[in-house]
Amino acid sequence: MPGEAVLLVEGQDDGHVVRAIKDPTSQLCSFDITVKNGLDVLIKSLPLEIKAPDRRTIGIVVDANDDIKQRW
Amino acid sequence: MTMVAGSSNLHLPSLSVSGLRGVGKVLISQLGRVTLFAGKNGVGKTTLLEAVRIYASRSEYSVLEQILQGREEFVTTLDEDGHELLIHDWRSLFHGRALKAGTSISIGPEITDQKLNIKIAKRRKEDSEQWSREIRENFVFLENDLKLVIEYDKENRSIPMGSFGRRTRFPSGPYRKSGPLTSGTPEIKCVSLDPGLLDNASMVRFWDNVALTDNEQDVVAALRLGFGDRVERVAVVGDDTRHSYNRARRVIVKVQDQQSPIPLRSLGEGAVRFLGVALALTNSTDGFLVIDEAENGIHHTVQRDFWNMVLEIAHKKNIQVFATTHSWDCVVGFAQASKARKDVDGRLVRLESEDDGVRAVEYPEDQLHTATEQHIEVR
Repeated sequence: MPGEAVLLVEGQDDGHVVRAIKDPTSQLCSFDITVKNGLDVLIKSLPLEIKAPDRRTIGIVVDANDDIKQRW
Repeated sequence: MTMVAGSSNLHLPSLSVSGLRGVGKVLISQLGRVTLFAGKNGVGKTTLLEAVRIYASRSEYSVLEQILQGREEFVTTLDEDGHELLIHDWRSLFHGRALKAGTSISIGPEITDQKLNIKIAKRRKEDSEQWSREIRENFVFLENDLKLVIEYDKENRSIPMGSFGRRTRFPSGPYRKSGPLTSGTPEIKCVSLDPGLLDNASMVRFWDNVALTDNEQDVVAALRLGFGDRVERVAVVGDDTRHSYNRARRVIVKVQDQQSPIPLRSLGEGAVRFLGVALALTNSTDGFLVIDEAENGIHHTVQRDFWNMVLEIAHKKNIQVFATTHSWDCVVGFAQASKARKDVDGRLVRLESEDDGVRAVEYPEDQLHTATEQHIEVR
């Protein structure tokens, strides 16, 4: 299961993109990627991801193609 | 305090513990009909089960003694003839192992007047006069000038701190009768299962209470969950009067297509665990059942069935269950079973160490189900 730092992404494609640009040698990139299968699932899981044991850092990547303000 | 559906008829709708062993202070704001405790090793899960046992007994001496015994908390001292004597180490009950007047343990729901307090106080001459002659003459005190004061429901009683040494059993009777506490609020029935399999003596004692009653069906049904539908009947055979190991009373099972009954222990650990927990449940009506390391002996494919059985009997018999686990399979089975039972509240609480005590991270049923569906860690 993901550890201290996790990046939540909306779908598999987002996961692939992040994996491709992630620098495996950088300390800044030492996080796990969790694919959430949709925005609703991601939002529902947020309180639980925050209170997972030893969790220190959470990042979120969501698609903002249509309405940036609403997504934010 | 706001009561929510499912917790209003529980003996412990919430739990606050302070000063007990490694738990400096913890507050769990809401408990379920069944509550599963998770968390890292040494954080205090088993201590919370002990807190429930102590609270249920209103700090009966024999329960405190069992807890010290289970933890192998002994200390060597000398009797008046200079011989070595092993007595229970009462320091280990208190946070920081502090044995001094004023140190206290508090256990109970958030509501203050229902708390049980165990305090160390200075002994007075008149205390000894209230205790039985056997204690006055043969008891070995851990500290000569200290005693325990048990406070509950605006009453209190004093008990000595020490023991009769390894060879002599403490006679709990005189204290139970002499303490004013027992005439007030009655204690709550509490059965405790440790991580191992239930021993034969407890198993047959529990069986004696369910044989040929409606509960027997629940117990046999539980064994079928653990071993399969080929289980037909269960019985206890043997002779306790002969004190012989191979004649001792034990559980046997009639299995379909087998001519002779089979000893329960031959059916495997899962069968023994299912039967043991079902027997413990049916012997805990209107009380508590505590199970340490609930997952032990149970295959991951039947974890959900196991928790279905626990939730069902707990609901039917008005039992509040407290269990610990390290197992993800156990958590998933528990989450699935409790989600399916709208009428029974199942919750998970993870304990975490923090600077001034223990933090309780609480997962209500819905959150727990979402977490297990999405593989989000909760332990």
